[in-house]
Amino acid sequence: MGDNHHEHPNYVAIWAWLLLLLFVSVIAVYLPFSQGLTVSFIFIVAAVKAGMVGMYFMHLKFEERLVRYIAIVPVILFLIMLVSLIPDTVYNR
Amino acid sequence: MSGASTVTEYQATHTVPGRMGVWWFLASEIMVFGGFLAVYILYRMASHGAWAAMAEHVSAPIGTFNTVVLLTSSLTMVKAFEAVDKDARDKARNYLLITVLLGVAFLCVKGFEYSHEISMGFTPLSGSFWSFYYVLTGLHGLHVLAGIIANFCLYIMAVRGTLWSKNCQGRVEFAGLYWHLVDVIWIFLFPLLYLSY
Repeated sequence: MGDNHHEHPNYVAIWAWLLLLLFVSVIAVYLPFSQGLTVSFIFIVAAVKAGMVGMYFMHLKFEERLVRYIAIVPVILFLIMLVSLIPDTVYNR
Repeated sequence: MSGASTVTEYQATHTVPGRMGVWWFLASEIMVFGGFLAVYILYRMASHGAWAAMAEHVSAPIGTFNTVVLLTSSLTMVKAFEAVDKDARDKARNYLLITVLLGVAFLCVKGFEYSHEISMGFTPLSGSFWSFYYVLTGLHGLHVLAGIIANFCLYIMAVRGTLWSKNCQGRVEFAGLYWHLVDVIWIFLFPLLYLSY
């Protein structure tokens, strides 16, 4: 090992943040906000959680640029596929 | 020896080829799950709320519990990697075992959930939501199973000492990257299936 020269972050603190965000998103479902707002909120929280796992547990924060590109390109392709098909699905009944 | 030092030098300055290979594999996994997730989201939007009645029957508390289990297993996996990096062999072995056990716990809870849902009459044929539910969680469960097998093999190697004598420590990092991706996929599956009703 030792090919990835960086200090290990405080993994326990990141785990605690992940659990906190999980409970925040679960509680948000029971709060009296509109469904659109609630769904947006829980998916933003999910994206933040995924980002934290990627950056710290999967060490993307410390990786070289090429590896970050390999990680982010399929996510962008997924979003393009999803967003480009939404109008057809929602408006074309 | 010169060959060995060249490898070390290469590893010190560039991304290890093995890690690059794992990331390519993970990118393909993101597209596999991305396809399923996109279809699920689009169908659900097209249903204009008609799936909400079906989605109400999944258990958010059980899903939350399983999310905690999987997030914790990601922590123990990355701690195993840290222990290997610092050559703390006993710690690495123990963390690998805990990760395997948490993975097994996740699948046991999932199995309990399936049996409960099926006993309530919700099978993959009970409607579009349930078809997606079983396909998405089933595919994810198979990935968890694959991760458990990989981690268990590493645990056996750690117990025997071959993880170090055969210089295979890097595999803990690779298995960890895969395990964390399985965790990331669940991070999205959980709100999609359990919280969006």
